[in-house]
Amino acid sequence: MSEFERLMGAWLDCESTDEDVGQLQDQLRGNPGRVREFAEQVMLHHLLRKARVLESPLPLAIEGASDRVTVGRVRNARVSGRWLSAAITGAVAAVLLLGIPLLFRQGLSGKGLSQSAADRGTSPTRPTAIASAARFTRTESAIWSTAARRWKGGDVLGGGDVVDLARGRVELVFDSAAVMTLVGPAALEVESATAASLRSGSATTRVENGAARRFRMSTPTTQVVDLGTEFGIAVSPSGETEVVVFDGAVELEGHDESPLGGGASGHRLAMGEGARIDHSGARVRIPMIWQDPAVPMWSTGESRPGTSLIAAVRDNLSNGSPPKFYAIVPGGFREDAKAYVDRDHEWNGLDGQGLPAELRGGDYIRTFNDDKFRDDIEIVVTLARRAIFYVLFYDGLPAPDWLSSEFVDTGLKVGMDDGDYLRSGGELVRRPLDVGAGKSIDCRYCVWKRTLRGASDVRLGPICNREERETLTDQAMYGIVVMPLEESASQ
Amino acid sequence: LAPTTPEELAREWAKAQDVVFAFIGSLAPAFGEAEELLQETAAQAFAQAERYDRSRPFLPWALGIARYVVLEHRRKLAKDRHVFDAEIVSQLASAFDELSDRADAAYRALSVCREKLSARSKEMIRLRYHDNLLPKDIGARIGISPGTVRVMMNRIRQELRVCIERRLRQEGLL
Repeated sequence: MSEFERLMGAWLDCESTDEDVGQLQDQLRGNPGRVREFAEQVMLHHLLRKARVLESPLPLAIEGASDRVTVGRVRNARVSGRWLSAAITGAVAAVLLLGIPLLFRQGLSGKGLSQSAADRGTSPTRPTAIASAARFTRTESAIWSTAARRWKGGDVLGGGDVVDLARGRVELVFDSAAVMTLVGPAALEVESATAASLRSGSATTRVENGAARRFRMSTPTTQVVDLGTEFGIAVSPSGETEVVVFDGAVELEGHDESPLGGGASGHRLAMGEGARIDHSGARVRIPMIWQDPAVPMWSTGESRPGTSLIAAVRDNLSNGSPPKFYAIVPGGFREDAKAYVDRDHEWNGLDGQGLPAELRGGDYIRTFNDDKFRDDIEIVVTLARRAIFYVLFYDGLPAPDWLSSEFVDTGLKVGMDDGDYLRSGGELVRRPLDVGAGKSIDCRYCVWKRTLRGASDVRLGPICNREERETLTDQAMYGIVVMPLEESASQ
Repeated sequence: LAPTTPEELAREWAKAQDVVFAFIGSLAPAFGEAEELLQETAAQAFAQAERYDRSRPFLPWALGIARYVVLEHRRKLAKDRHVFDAEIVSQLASAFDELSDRADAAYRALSVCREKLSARSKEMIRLRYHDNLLPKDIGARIGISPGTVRVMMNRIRQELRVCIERRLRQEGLL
């Protein structure tokens, strides 16, 4: 280790002496190369720190909660979004799902809440008589808007409290056990334990099926009522609302004063479906979203994340088809990655060695498994630059012409953990999803490959033609993974 | 001066935040302190929004505010002996400005490169960045000397930097 490396390490580890700092300055002064090296080292330090924050489970921000509950198995513990998944698994989940209502009940007694507030050192201006509706369980790099209240983990919110977030991510758990992740810039008003109003920005909310009451989110153009689900809502600066459903279903209702009208004349969106609602109440399909592989964050923005190899995906479905969306997950292909937007199925390695190395960490697209029933589907994937394009095709099916003519079978295989599924006839078969490679593998997929040497469109067809469909008894939609093509390999 | 709206400023801040945070970290490496200073930098940036000319790059402007915030904070705490001189701070701001266009790609590459580390290296990273332990504490935890921890951490960081650089080259970003 050189002296410069030692000095940088000491600085990053907060162990520098005055003499070290002086020497580090001497080494940096007038030496742009070392300044740059130092900057890169600090940047790495910061990114490791950032990764730690994003991957860590929820902190136990609920003071005293851990000794109030019995740790037990939590129903439906596996959810999309590893941050949330980690949070709802195990002891922390037990605290969140079981302990919080208990804490809130104690808080509502008055004495409990005021004592709690005093212990936390929160603002004394907050009346202690306000009924609690939600609680901050996490703030992540949160930057609050000017003049907005700076909330922190453990703070209790009552009806009428506003969260005005300029940047970062925060998590709230409502008294009804709805868990909401808010991504800044965003403005949210908490109305009650079962209702909130999103004025701007985006929020992802999970409401467990067992929750006693429906959770309702209002936006300038619609109201979204959960039906036991995980769903995302975004309100654009112009006030349009985007709704996407990750699990379960929601119902869209108009405000009394909105063009959709009030009351129960709702429109239902199911898992994997999304719609944009404008000021006239018109709904149009959201064809694709960007989804973060690690946390419950998503967007429908036209500009792709800077590092994604996939620029866009579209299909030939008409407006009369279900308003499904494709989810592009940059860097997300790994063990237990969700395979489809309309199923819980997960990609896994066939055995303990895991997924093939050449696919790991790839950008992938969560397709719609119900498209396996369509013989007219055409999916067009636009690549941003040169890449290796993989199609994961069900092992029990003959390769269609569009696949065998343009792709090469690599001989590699990946597995699928189906989880619960419906038998024909409607019987639900319980097969809990497992975690990790080589466990609970229900079927295999062949890995087909095509090399693209520049930005281009890749067209994919149906899994079979109409005649073949008549003879199929077992089928599944394919998956799509894209990996960078090394420069040396592209020449 | 081309005025900017709060929404525009928030978008610019969202893009710049990682680099601003790293820049602050170069001047104030303690995690908690750096996060506080980032908060203060953001607050001042939004408070001074009318001074930002949107026809000019946002990041240098934000780095200027961060620099002021850090120096002011250190001055109040009488920690000025641990602050680099103005010339170096200026050079660091330029270096981070240059790094900004590939910060996202580097972060993504890092997730892949971390997976390639040995089990022991992963454990060291976990102890340092997940559990926020310093070398002496890590050494006590796994039974090696703090000096050995420092050497190992340096090697791991170097390994990660090389790996990230290789991947950025593969993606045509270097």
